[in-house]
Amino acid sequence: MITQTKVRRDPRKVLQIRIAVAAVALFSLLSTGWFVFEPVKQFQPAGTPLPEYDKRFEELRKRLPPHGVVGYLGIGWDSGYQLPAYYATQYALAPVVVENSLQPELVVGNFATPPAPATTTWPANLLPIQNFGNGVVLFAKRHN
Amino acid sequence: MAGLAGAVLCAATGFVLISLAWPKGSWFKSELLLKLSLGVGCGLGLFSFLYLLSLVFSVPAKTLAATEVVIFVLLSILLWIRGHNLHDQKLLQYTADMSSGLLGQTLRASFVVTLIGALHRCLKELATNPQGIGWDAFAIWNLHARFLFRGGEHWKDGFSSLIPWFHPDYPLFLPGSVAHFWSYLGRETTAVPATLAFAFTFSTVALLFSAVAVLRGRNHGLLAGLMLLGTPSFLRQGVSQYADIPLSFFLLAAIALLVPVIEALTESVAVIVRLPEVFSVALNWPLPLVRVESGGSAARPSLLLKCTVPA
Repeated sequence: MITQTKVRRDPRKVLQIRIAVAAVALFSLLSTGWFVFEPVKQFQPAGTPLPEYDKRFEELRKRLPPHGVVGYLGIGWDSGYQLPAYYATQYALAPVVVENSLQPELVVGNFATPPAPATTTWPANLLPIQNFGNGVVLFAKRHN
Repeated sequence: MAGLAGAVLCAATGFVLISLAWPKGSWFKSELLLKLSLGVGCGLGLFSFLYLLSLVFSVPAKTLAATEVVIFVLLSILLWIRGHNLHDQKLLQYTADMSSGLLGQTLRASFVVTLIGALHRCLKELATNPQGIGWDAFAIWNLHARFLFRGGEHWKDGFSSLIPWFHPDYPLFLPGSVAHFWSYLGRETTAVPATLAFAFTFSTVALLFSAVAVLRGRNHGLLAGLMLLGTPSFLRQGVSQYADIPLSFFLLAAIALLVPVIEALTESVAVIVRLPEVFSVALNWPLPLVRVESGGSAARPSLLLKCTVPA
């Protein structure tokens, strides 16, 4: 058992302590006030809020096998969004592993703007299986 | 409803476990806030570990939930038995500075205002970004949770080297906790990681306040809590759903629990140092440590030992 006792302090010290405590309280209040009134920004890793990005891949998820590895093809993204778009695709499609290559049998095409089927030239080694119309296209590897 | 029941069960199990480990303490009355805040982390740690075991041994979610209820009941019975065999003692017999003076009132008012402001801001932030803010939240921690929950038998697929940023070496405490509550609910919801982030942020504040209040007095506790609440980067990290705040919670818990141990050890060392004095009293033997102050014809008791030393 530990016991502690109060220490009688010098009145000048007490004043100094009060000033220090008041300063801490004041700065904490000011800091919190600044934080409270700061505008709240929505996190958009690939230029779109994550819930919307999740919805974008909802239909594709139903078409994919429940587990396994799929490839990834990201087209038309700004350089700043290229990698975040890939990360967000993996987040949306988990537990399917999204490999950043065109080697797997199935490849997920993630276009920044929905491709027009009539004018778009698909990669030669990929065969489009389904275009979901929102920039998401499922490809299969073309075997010669 | 299932999620709320699961959260209550988790926190209650953690509280009971902490109360069981509490040294010579009354199980409910003493240091309640400290035990509650420690209980949140302890309960989540236990439940995420059980969830991981259930994945490893392919235990169904209902069996896991039933096991957790049984664990809680058994721990509660153990605590009830223990409570009847112990006296009501506190971790520290502290004469708390419950100062109602200007200093105490200023601190209390500032703490309440800061706490309300922080709560408001964090809730607003979590409502806007329930999936977290920043890379680690969605690309690591919540992604791990999705692999654990959605993966079923293939939950280990996430540890594939094909996902370069996945960090398979990172602890599964946080994703395990998130996935566990999703399994209670039977579906995924962003409310779970958001609630966990909120709980850890304010449990850390509660832990700091209560630990310092128990160890040094309420005004010191308020001051410590006020400084933490007045640090926006801490609150921002908390609502970002990164693992830094849970980590800081456990580090703080370890420090808070070590302080009384160290103080007790220091006390023990002091006793050992003073053992010669004690023995000199017992044996009535004048050791060099003993100061003998003579006055007149009779030897006066030593101020150091408060004992009569033979002349």
